[in-house]
Amino acid sequence: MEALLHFKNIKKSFSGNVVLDGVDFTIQPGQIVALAGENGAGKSTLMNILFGMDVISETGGFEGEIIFEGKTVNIQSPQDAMALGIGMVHQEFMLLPGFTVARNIKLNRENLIANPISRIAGKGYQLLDNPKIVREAAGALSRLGMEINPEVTVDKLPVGHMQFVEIAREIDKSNLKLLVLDEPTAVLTESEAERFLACIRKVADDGIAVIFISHRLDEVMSLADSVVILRDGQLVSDKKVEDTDKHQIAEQMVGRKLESESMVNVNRSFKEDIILEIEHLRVDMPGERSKDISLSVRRGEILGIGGLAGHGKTSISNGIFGMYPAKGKVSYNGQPLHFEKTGEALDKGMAFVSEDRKGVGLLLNESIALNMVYTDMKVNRNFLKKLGPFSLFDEKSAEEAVKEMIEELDIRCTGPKQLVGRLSGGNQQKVCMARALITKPEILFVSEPTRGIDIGAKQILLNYLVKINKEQGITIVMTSSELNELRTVCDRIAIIGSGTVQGILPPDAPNVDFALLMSGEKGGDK
Amino acid sequence: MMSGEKTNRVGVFLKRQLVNNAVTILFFFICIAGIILANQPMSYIIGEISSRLFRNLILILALLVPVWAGMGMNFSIVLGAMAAQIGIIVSTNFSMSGIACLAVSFLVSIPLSLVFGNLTGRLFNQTKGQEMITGMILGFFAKGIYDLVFMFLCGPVIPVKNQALLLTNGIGLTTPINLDGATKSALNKIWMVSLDKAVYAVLILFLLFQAALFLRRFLLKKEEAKGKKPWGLLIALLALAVFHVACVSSETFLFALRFTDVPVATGILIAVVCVYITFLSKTKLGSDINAVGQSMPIAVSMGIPADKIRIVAIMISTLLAALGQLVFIQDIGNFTTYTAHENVGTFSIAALLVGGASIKKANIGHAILGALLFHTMFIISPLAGKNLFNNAQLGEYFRVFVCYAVIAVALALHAWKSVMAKKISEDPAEEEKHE
Amino acid sequence: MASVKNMIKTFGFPRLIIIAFLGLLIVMMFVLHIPVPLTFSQCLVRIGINMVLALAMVPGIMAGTGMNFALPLGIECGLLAGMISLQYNMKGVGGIFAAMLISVPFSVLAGWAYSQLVNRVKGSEMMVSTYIGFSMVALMCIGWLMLPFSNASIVWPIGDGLRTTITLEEWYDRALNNLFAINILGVDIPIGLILVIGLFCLVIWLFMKSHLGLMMKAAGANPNFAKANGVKVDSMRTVATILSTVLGGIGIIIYAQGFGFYQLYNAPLMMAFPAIAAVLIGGATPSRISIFNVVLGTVMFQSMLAIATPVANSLIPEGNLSEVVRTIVSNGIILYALSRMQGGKR
Repeated sequence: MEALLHFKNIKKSFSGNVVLDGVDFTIQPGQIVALAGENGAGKSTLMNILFGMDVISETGGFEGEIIFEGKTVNIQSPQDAMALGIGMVHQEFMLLPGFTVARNIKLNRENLIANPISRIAGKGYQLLDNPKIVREAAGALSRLGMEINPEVTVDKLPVGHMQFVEIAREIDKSNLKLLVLDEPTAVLTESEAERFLACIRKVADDGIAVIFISHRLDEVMSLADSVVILRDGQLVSDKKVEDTDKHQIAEQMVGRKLESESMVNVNRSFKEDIILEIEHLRVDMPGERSKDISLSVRRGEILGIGGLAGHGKTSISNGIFGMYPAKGKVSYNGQPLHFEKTGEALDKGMAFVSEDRKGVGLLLNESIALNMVYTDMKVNRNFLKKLGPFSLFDEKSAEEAVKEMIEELDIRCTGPKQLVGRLSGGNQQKVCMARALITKPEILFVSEPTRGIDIGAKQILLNYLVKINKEQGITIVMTSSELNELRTVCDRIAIIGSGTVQGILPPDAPNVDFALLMSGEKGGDK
Repeated sequence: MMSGEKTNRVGVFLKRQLVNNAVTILFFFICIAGIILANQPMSYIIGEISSRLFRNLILILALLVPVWAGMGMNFSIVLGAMAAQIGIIVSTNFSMSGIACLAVSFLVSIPLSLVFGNLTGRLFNQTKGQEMITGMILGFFAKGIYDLVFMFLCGPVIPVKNQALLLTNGIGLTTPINLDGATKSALNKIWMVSLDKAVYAVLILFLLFQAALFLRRFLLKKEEAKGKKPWGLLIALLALAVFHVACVSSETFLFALRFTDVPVATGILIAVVCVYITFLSKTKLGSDINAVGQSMPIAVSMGIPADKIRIVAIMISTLLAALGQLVFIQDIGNFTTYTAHENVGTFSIAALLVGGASIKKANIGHAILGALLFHTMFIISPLAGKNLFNNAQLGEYFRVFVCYAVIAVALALHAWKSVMAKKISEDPAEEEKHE
Repeated sequence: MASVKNMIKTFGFPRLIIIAFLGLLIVMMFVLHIPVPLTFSQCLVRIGINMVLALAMVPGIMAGTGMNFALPLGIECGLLAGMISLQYNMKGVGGIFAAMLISVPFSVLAGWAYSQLVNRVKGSEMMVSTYIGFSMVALMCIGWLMLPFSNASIVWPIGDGLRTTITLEEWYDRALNNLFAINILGVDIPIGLILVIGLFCLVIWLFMKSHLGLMMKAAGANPNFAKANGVKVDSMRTVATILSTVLGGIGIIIYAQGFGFYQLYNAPLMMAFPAIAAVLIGGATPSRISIFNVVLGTVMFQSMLAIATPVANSLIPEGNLSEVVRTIVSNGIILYALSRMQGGKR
């Protein structure tokens, strides 16, 4: 049988950074292929290529071929993909809340009736054929086995039903041949998810191929026909579901071997001196919600926080620093910390390097000097000089401190006066780090310190973290999506899944243990 | 238990209605209080309100389509008003008169308003999210250009045939520009009917329309139709009955109605605009406009050309505004050349908001109710001020204040609501319900 | 060629047009034999009396509430203080400073109340503030009619309320302008006015560099950065709004003394727009501003208007051509800034 879609030797790099390296697999009509992999493994880049998204062409296109129904196709835009019969259901809903279910399903493909006015004034004046729209929408929904009233507006629909409406919209397109589902069950409850999976099975039984992206390994095992695993842009496994199991998938997802000598902090011993105690913390950070986090940080250690995106690992530091509303109890050096007050954690001598470098970490239109000393100036009122009623910013004393940091962290710049926005990502990250360190913190929270920066800068930053931890005794809590990075520098690694701590492992624990904690297969509180 | 729950639900419903329509309800009471304070004969008040309703309604209706498109209140209908004024200046220049003058004015204003609308739409696409402030500033800017053309270029640069239009020194147009006797109210004068007859006619037509709908449903024997009660028919009957009783029982009321003449042709024109807007809402174009209004990114991802749709929405609005200003000017019989367009945007928007519309939602009902309430306030507040404080000026300032305040409050409420909505959507309560 | 393009890019197309126009006006001034020293004197006065109103834009833009279209709010506070100073016959330079002092509590109160609204309508500040400004002007119209002022020189001889225009001859007409004024080559240089304006610019400049100013700047440039550094963004916006309102109040008093009269009722309605246009012409954007922008913008915009008036009058004696030019230029530059603003976001 001829394959419906063949990704043939796909290669893609973003400014020298290889994200897809010779990915090659096929999908048959009616087949459900699960696409698995850690964040950054290249799944979304592959889908962006399939849909001809602008990010791909803007960054120099890709190498390799996409062969659809035996022909090499050149997909330039999502519209091209749609025309070929490739549909996608996104993680976030693409539904108009004020329109009925039927109108959403038929959006921009409405059944129309010509009339005298439309003959003169143009197609825009054709009337909507509402009965027919409702009928056809109801037909699509019933093909999915769903009983949803097509005349209800979407804003009155339970969240769990919206996903079905999206699927109905796709299968209502008469030419649909391939459906891509990006973590479709993330917002569904367990029973809804089950119905949803049954519904996908139905779609596949109609001969439509499905690419199914999910982090839930149980779903993958029960639904998919075959599993394709990407890791660091390479295809590491393409197997029938019968020929594999959850453990194997999990291990292959994170499976990079790490030399034990590169883990610098194995088996350091600490006194049970708790510097920070987090109890039942819950942070309402959109997209990264945590529900019930309890963690103790020992003085002098480097604690890693890992886990998959969307499970709440980054919300912990954001909650403690008051960036998002949070509930729970946090004590610092035995004293309760009122983290809901803006600046409380900073005033107490903690420091924070945010994962969102450009959005939170920097004032892009200001100088390196101001950026670096800002926190210290604000919180500890350093680098100021009095002039009458004003406490003026003292550029001279700031520049001295800044020059020191520039040298120490090897920041490539023209000098303290250069605007931060002009620096490369790695150097910007170093500025953020310097800003936190100039305050001389007792404990430092670092989120995703190496995201989107080059390897050289990555190494400098990680080494520096280890160095300040050893030499200055600064306790470090480091959050990262890159497990191996955590394993190289941390003493312990807490894995966050579904908003809670799934478990804490030493850096030299086997790969498969990490993988299973991450995919929520072990110890989950649920 | 059940009934308790029910009254509670009714209570919640009433409370929500009260909160959502606070501006309208407040205005209703201001109007009632004003009418009592103004102490004017009913015939005067009804006459004034009726003539202002016919004069202003199309301008208010012109605002609806951009609201659907999510662009908020279209402050740039000022440009449509300018197009109409240019139309009148052109036709007056060629010494036209009567209905022909109005027709030519409208013909001239069509391409102008479409071009203005198109350019405005393009500008709005550059300033997404800030359409209202852009529209307002654009109105001021356009006024500058308009003044430059008609105050300084007409005469020396642009030849003017009709010397009566020019100032004595030959530079710039005179102000105000008067329509001649045959043109003034030419549209209104086609057919005048006293208000009582007009209301009877409208109510009877409405009843017939509802009856026809009911019959059609009955004859088609649609399944779903059977369950529905013929509310429309009942309302139509009730309205007719109430009106009839009011007319029969109150001499002064009937006298006031008989005393007031309404322009049927203008009324028909307004009806045509209403029908057009209703029709538009049921077409593909209307659907696209609504889709863009609800979410531009989603509309675009579904292949709807949002930018183009937005431009079309503004063009429709500007064209209707031109028509509206033309009706307005023919009703008055003259216009101050350089300022007649100035308050068109503000007053129409305030009226629409008073009728219960918001930045996101507006319909024909809001426009009519708003026009009634707003213009009632407009007529009576100087009179009430005079009676209350012996100072008519006070009432005049009051109505200007109310006009601005209504817009400020509506904008602030809307902005506040959307900030709150954002907060709620980020609230995890929704998710919790699920688990 | 490339350098020309670059220059246009950094300097902005509309600014070049305005410079060209200004140049043309200066040439015309000589061609039409308009008395140059008199015009320059006019320029200096106009620049001076408008400067503080333009300075009022600084705090809002710094703190991220954007251009303060609600400037009339501050102006009304200033006018109220001015009326009080006239009522009690405060005269001379002392009278001016007294009026400024009186205006501060009013402005602080009004600015605080208004800031509570501003903090609740993030993202729509400009539109809301425009209409808040408008409604305050209309409300104060009623106020001018009703408030119990009794000084015969400021109320209508018959009927209620304050006069529409109150000439300041009796009190402090041009007191600041004439303070230490010297005459060089026929040009009157209002040293007193320049000193006061310079002082205000200096204070605001220092403020921008201070601890509080830098906190405000962060709140405007990147609210999340501010929050992560313990800056209370809403408080900064409140302080900025109050500061802007206070400057609006002081600004109108300086404006009125240099102009020679107070204008009440509807006069303040559109006064925010020239101030906004001036800072935009000076190179500010709705999210970034410096004192240099304010000074350069006010100098360019006000000189243009000051020179345009006699030039226009000698070209076309009837009609108010300079007023039309003002409308087009000031609203044109605001439109340009608005369209740029979105462009930057994309």
